[in-house]
Amino acid sequence: MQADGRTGSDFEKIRHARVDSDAPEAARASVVAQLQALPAGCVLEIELGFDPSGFLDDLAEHGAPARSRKIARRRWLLSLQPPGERELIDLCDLEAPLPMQRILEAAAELEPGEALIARTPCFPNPLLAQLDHRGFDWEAAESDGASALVWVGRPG
Amino acid sequence: MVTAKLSLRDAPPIEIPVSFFLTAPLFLAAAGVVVLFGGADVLANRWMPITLATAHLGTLGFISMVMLGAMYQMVAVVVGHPVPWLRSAHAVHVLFSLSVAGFCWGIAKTEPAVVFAAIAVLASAVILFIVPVGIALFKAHSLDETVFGIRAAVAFFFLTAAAGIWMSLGFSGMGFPGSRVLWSQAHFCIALLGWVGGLIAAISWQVLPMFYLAPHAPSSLKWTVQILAAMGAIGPAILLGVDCFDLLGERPQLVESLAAAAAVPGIFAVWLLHPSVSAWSLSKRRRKRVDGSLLFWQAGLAMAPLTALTAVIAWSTDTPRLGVLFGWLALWGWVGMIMHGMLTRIVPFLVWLHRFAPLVGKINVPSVKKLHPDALTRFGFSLHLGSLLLGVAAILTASDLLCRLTGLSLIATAASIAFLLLRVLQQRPIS
Repeated sequence: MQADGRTGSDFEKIRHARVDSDAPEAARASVVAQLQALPAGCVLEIELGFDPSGFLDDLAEHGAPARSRKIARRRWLLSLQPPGERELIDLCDLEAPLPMQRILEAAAELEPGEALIARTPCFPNPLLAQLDHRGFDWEAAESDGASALVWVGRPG
Repeated sequence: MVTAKLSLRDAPPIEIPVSFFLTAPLFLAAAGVVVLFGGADVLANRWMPITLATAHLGTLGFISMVMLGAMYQMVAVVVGHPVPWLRSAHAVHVLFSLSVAGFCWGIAKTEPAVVFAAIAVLASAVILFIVPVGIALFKAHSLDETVFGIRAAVAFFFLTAAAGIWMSLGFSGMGFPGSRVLWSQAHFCIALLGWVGGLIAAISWQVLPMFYLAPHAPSSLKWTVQILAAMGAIGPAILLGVDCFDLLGERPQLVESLAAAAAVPGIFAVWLLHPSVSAWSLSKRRRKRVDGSLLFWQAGLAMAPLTALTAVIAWSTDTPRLGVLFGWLALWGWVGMIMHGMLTRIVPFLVWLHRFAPLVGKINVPSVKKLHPDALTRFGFSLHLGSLLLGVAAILTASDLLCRLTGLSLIATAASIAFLLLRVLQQRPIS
C-alpha cells in the first residue's frame, strides 16, 4: 500500500528497488549506482537475496545512512538515504500509538522545507489523518508487508 | 507494489463506538442477574427458555454489541472507507439495545407479543447497520485478508440475524421453520464461525502486530483461516436451504449430520488454526512485556481448542449439560476473553487518538498507558477467569450455589469493565 498527501513536490520520496543478482560484487555496484542516482530527501529500499551487512561500512564511508534487516528466509531489505541526510527514525519496536506520538513530536520540530523519514511497525492510517489536519506533506508506503516507511515534510 | 490513494476522512466520532461499548457490560450484568436469581435451572439445558434468554443476553447484548460498535471504527480506519449516514449508528444502538432487552425478556417470560415486537425492532436495527456498513465495505479499495474477513463477517451477521429472527417466530406464536436441532445448530455455526470467528481472526491480523509487535502471520495462513471459517458457516447455511425445500426428503438426522460435517472446516480454522497461528505470533513478539490485555488474548486463544473439543463431545453424546458447557466455553471463555481484552486496549487507544493525538507536539501529552492502570485490567482478568472457572464447575456439578456464585461473578466482571471504560473516558487533556 502506498499513499501520499503532498501539496508541493511531485516525485516519490520513498522508492523501492530489487536486486536479483546473487553475486555480491554485482549487487554492490548496482546498489551504489542507485544510491548515486537518489535525489536528496528521498529514501530507497532495495530488496536483496543475500545479507548486505558486509557492505554497510562501504556505504557509511560514502556518508550514506544505511540499515539492513532480514525480512524473510534469504531476503533482506536495505534502506538507503543520500549522503548527509537526517537518519531514518526506526520506531518498529514501539507499540501503537507510540510511533504516531514520536512522529508527530518530531514533525512539530521541523522547520519549513525540512523533512523526516520514519519506519513504523504498521501502516499508520491514523497518523496520516493527523498529518493532513496539520498541513504537513507526507508519503507512506508499506515496505515489506509488515512495516511501513513514512516521509513527513513541512511545506517551505 | 500495490498503490492506492487512501480516503483519510475522519474516523467516526468516539461517541459512536463507545456508546455500544458502554452498553455491553449492562447486558452482561443482566445475564449475571438472571444466573444469580435463576440458579441451577439456568445452566442445565440449552433448550430452556431462561437459558436461551441468558445466552442471547451474552451473544447479542455483550458480544454483538461490542462488535457492532467496533465495526463502525474499523471499517473507517482499517478498511479505509468511511461509513455513510454515520448518524444512523445512534439509531442502530438504541434499536439494537431495546430489541435485545425485549427479545430476552420475551423469551424468558414466554411472552409471544413481546418477542414479536422485539424481533421487528431487531430486524430494523440489523438493516440500518448492514446497509451503510455494507456500502463502505463494498467501496473498499483493497481486498486483503482483513477486508475479506470483515466483509464475510458482516454477511454472516446478516445470515445469523435472518435465521435467528425466523427461528424466533417460533417463540412469537408462529411455527418453527424446520427441524429445531438443525436450525439451532446452523444458527450458532453461522454466528460463531462466520460472524464472530471470522471477525476475530480478521481483526487479529491487524491488532496483534499493532498493539503487541507480534510478527505478521504468513499471508497464505491468514487466507486459509478466513476462507475455511467462511466455508464452515456457508455449509450449514446451505443445509438450512436444503431443509427448507425438503431436497433430501424427510431425513432430519441425515441433514443434521451433514450440517455438522459442513462446519468442520470452520471449527478447524477458528478454534485450532487461528489460535495456533496467533499464539505463535504472540510468542515471537518483539517486546516480551506482558500487559493485562495480552493475558486476555492468551486465555481466549487457549480456550479455543477446548471449545472445539467440547463441541465434538457435546454433539456426539447429546448430553444437555455438555451442550451448555460448550456454549459457556465458547461465549465466555473464547469470545468473552478476547472481547474483554480488546476493550481494555482499544478504548484507551481511541480516547488517546481522539482527545490527545491532536495535541501532540503542542503540549505534553500522556502516553496511552497512563490513561488507565494495568492493575485494573489485571483485576478484570482475575474476575473474568474466576467467573469462567466457577461456571464450568457449576455446569458440571449442577450445584445451585455455584450457579448463583457464577451469576455474582458475572455481575462483578461487568462492573469492572464498566468502571474501566468510564474511568478511561473521563480522561481529557488539561486545558
